Amino acid sequence: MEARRDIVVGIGGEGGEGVIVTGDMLTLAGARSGQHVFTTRTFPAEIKGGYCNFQLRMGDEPMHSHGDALDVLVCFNEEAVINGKKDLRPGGTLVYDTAPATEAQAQRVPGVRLIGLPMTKIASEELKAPLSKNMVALGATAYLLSIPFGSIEKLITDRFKRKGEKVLAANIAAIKAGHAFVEERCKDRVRTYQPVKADDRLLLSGNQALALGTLAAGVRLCAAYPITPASDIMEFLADVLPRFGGAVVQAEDEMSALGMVLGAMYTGRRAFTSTSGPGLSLMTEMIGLASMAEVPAVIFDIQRSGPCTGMPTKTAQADLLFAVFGGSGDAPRIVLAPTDVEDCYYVTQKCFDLAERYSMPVIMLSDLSLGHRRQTVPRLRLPENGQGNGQRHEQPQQWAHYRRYEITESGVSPRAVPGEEGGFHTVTGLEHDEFGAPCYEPSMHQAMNAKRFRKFATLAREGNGVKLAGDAQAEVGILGWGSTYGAVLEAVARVRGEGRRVKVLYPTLLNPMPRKEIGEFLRSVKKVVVPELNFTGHFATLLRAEFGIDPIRLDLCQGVPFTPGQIYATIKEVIGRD
Amino acid sequence: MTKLAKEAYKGNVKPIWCPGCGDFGVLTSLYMAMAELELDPKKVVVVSGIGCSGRLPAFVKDYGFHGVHGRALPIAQGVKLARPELTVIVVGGDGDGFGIGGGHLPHAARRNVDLTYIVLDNNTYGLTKGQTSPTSVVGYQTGSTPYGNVEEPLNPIALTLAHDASFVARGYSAQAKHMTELIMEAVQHRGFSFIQALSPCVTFNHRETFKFYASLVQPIPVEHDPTNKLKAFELAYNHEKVWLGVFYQVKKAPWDEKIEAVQHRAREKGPADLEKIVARFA
Repeated sequence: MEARRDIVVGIGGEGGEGVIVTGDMLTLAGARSGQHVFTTRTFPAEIKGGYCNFQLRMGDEPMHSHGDALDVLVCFNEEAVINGKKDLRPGGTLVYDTAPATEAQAQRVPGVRLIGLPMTKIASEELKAPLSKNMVALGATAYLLSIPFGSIEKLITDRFKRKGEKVLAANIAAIKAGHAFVEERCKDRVRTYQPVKADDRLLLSGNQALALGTLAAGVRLCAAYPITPASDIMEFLADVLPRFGGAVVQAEDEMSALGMVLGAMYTGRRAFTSTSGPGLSLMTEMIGLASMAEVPAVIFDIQRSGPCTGMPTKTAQADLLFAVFGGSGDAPRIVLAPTDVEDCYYVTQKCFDLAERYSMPVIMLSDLSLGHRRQTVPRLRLPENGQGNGQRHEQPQQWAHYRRYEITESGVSPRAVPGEEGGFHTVTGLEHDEFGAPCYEPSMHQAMNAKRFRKFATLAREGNGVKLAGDAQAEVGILGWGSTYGAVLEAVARVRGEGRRVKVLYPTLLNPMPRKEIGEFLRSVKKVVVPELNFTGHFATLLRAEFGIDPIRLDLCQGVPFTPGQIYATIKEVIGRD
Repeated sequence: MTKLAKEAYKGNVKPIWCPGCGDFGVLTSLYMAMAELELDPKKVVVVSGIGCSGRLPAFVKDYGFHGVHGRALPIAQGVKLARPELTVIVVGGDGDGFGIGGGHLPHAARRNVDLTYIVLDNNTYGLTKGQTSPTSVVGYQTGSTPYGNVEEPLNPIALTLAHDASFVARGYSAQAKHMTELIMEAVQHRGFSFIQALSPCVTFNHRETFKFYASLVQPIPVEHDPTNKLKAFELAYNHEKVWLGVFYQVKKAPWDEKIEAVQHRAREKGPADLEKIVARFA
């Protein structure tokens, strides 16, 4: 048997058959036995039913992507074979239900090891519990992956004990039956590993990390409107935020959601809204208000495929230009993008810090693939008081003749909040003088625009986090943003493993762009590849505008994240062009 | 706090309204109500959207938020949610509140957010120079309706009653004392209080003028029971007279109390301890 450091497993079937539960159990059991895991899933477009698929990568080392070809494909039905077979690597293992149609499809897949598992038959006929079909598959798959049976058994017990002894017993019997069936017939497991105790890690999705980040930042209000793929953020917080004296409000629409955030932040409390592209569209006018009135605001855009309603359950990185420029007039706003699950926790906190220190709207661009992937991450650094930070920054030093919009060198004016004696002012979306009184003087509009944009220069002086990877010296550089980072890292490792040189730069701050760091990177390479999940090359467009370069674009807009293989192929092709 | 003169509530910015505008009367009543209630200006936030009346926050010495068109209520709810101890007063016009912002009124009302919403209703769009509004009558001729408005006007009192607001009243700009009393009652009401403030536009609206209202306005009969919603509807739909006063008022738990109750239930389930919450993912 081949000693494999990691393995990729796909599970496909009809929504409602328990595909996701099966995947979740394997993931959790794998993580608890010391493995690093990385998951991704596709959602059916249907409200109930429809094809869905779960992918789990599991290995001894930390991983950055969901991987390339499948080593194991578990098919609950015929459709799963049809959809999944192209992803199964040659010599891989295909586990299928022995229902006639599924079996007929599976038999036609060449060059793979076939394991016919009578999931439906065992569940319905032997166990008289048709709903336990997925548990049969779970037991069988756990065996093939060497996941300790006891670990699976414990998870199932935790999950089903509240449903009663009978249900629990049926499920335990089903995993045992699946396990035994494969154990008897296949002596060869797909992979073995040594289970270890690893309590220095967490298993988190990007959205969960984000939500925990808001708690660490001391947020007291989440106002949001339900939208895929962002809803789970508000749902998670609805359970726990009230414990901290906060609230989650389901607003009547996205305009109201952001309005509530502005109202709360204006009073000095931390608040945010989470949404996706269609919601961000509706928030546009209020982003302009936050920029003009200099009221802090934090917006999390978990991007999905657009335009318009687009493909709500598919991923994309196509809101970048809109996040940076969307709206009327010249309206500065800060745009950030986390690159992985752990980053979601820390960049989220940075959003609140920047919003308050610069009195400006901050938009963080995550996406469906990052928000919903689950990954083992190192333990998170928690705020010391266990309650979250969240102190307002830039309190006025003196109150005599307080000017809310005082023209300063940094562009930032001291911000008073209600309750403070002497800080009276009205914030407004009208152009205004230093006191906030509406003012249309030509020179005032010029001066105020300059003041608002001067905050960017101040922010640039802070020195901004960029991620550099790969070789210090290389002719080819990958310059990207957001969730594609992991696939790029793995592709680059593969290229470097072959003795070729390549380097990588991922800025977290996308607007204003970290000119110095990006400029140095661009000067150090001969060719730049910009991979992104959109059709028109948003980041490449920004780079062209800022630096006058014409990067090699790798745009993909198929609703799915990059695989390392796709990036690898492009790097090889670019290196080979000379 | 010692009682301040009403002049103490005047902001540094001078109103930009046309001479004789109905909004002056409402503003004066607001100053008087704030003085009578002895409100501490630093604990008052006046929020508005866009329109002639939307300029009002700058004319009051307190904290103010002049937002975007139609979104005063969401911003005000955010203020109240974050800082329940603040007195929140929302002002705006008929276009701001019933046109572009009409989608927010039902929700602020049904949440019973403890704030006061004063709609300065002049039945026209004044700031954009006299187009038809959601409360303009059929036949109203304006630049945007040169052949006369063909849309039925909204009935703000009936509308707000239907949204289950817990305080619904109507005042008239020219009756400053009564308007002051209404604002005081509304601010003291625990929950969502709504005042339709009839505020004639002297520049663009030649129908709903001070003269027009003079013969029509009448106090709501003293025998009216303000807890009787059906009777309140009857008064709202009575077109013989324009009734002034409190149409409807009931006691209901305000939003902040309900949110506090949720916080209490959540704390019974688990402590406010981030480390414990993170441990779920170990």
